[in-house]
Amino acid sequence: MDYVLKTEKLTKEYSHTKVVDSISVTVKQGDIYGFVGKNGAGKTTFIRIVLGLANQTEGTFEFFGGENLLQARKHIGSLIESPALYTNMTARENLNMFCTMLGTDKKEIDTILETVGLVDTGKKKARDFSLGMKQRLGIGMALVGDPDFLILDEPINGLDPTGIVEIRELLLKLKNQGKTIFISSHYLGELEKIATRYGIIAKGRLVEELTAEELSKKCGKRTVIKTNNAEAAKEIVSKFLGTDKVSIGTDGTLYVQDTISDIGAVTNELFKAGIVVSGISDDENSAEDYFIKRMEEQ
Amino acid sequence: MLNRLIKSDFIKLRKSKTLIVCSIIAFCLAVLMSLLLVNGWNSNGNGESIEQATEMLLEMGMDKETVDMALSIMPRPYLWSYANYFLSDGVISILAAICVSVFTASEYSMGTLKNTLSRGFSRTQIYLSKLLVSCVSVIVLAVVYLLGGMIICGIFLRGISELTAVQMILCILSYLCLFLAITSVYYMIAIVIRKTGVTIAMSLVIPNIVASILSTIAYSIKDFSEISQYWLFNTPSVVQRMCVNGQAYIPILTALVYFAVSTAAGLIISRKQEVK
Repeated sequence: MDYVLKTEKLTKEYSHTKVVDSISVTVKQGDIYGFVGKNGAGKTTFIRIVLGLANQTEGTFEFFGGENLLQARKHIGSLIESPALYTNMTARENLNMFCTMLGTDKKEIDTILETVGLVDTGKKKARDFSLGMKQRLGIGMALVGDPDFLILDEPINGLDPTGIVEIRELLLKLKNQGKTIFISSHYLGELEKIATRYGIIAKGRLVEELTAEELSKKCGKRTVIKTNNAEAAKEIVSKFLGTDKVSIGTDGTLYVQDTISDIGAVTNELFKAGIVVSGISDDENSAEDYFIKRMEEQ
Repeated sequence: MLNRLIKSDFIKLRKSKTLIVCSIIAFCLAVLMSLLLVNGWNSNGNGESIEQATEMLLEMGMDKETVDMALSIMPRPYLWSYANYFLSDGVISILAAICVSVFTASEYSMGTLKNTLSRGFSRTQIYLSKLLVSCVSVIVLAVVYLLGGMIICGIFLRGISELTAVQMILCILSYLCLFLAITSVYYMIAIVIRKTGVTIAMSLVIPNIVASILSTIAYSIKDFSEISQYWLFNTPSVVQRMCVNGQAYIPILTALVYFAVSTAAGLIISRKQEVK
């Protein structure tokens, strides 16, 4: 088994509108898979389908190399949108009830409470918890039964900066324990710190799937060149600099990864070929910029 | 797996306190009603009023069957007579609507159902587990209501029953089946509506609306004069008469049909529904 989740052209249609459109992703074992997309892009619908809360219109998906879906879901912990808690119960009672349902050892409750920082909540009912505390308890409930795969939809929503750092550390710790994590989040900067693989989704479609290494190659400092003939300029610049890290944006702008030390020489080369250079400058392309750009291209 | 689910559902029921609150209400209502009954009974000559009323109505020209039917709701000074009165007065049905709606619909409205579904439990298992827990809670409600009534009424009783042991057992069996069927219908309504408040309101309103329509039909069309007794929420009021007349199979079969149809419909609906 080399993958934990594999979807094949997963599609969900609501009144002739495709909310999830032919999404094929593969989450490998040990990955922290960052699922990136704007509000309404279809992230939560995708998660709801794989967790059995909604039925797909088309396509297939499987867990752990094709295990029976109901059996497989026993090894999956999840937090979907806002945490669903029994608000008339304390944090311990919520976890206790969940342990009873899953038939797991209740000794893990203390460990989970400590892990998510809710040891001191005592007899306080979940309805009196702050948003951040509810989110932590939601993550705690996902951890019951020591699942191999965690699916977390916006897990750091409502958390304060300290809480965000704690959850980040917790997720990295879980990854080191061999767990696979699928995490959807708006906090692109946070995702960048932990994800090993990304899926970018826009308008229900998977725009791009890439590894953290591939992302880092596409980000960082770059030189932006505006010309009257992008195709020809790309060829000349690639040849002159001896690099393949030259790309053309949707608006015809030329991007060269890493900054060019001798801008004058490049401009001269383009001029010799009869290409008009209307602008040349350095800028920085963060992962966040990259994600936004890819999402907006759709 | 189903065992664990049932166990956790019982924990949820206990923690939600709905059953406890409804049981307290049931007990208090039963005590209050029994006080009123005993008071009325004492002021009318310890049950002799029934015989007097029968004679009076017969003298007025009514036939014996109609008189018996009209006076059947008046409890005689026997243990079973009071039990029958309490079981058929509709209070249990109202409290069951509240209890079942709060317990089941809140799982949808609060979104907690997704915790169970996403952990590999099938929709059928979830449905059956909640149905079982709802049935148990309604039986608990019925027992508490009965006990509350018997505490006061029991002091003034003259005997166990006018009915034979077999008739009594058939009546009890019929009520049990009817309450389980009522629970199943309420649960199905909760699955369809999925919002606690609206579910309670609809569970209380729908039975009465249908009963009114059926009564109108029964009144206007002679061939359908008995149709309303097959409406699940009306059937409890005719259980004793049917059991005495050797027709105990009618309420039992009516209940089984409603139970089977509502459970099947609920299962189909729950399988197709998306969980938010």
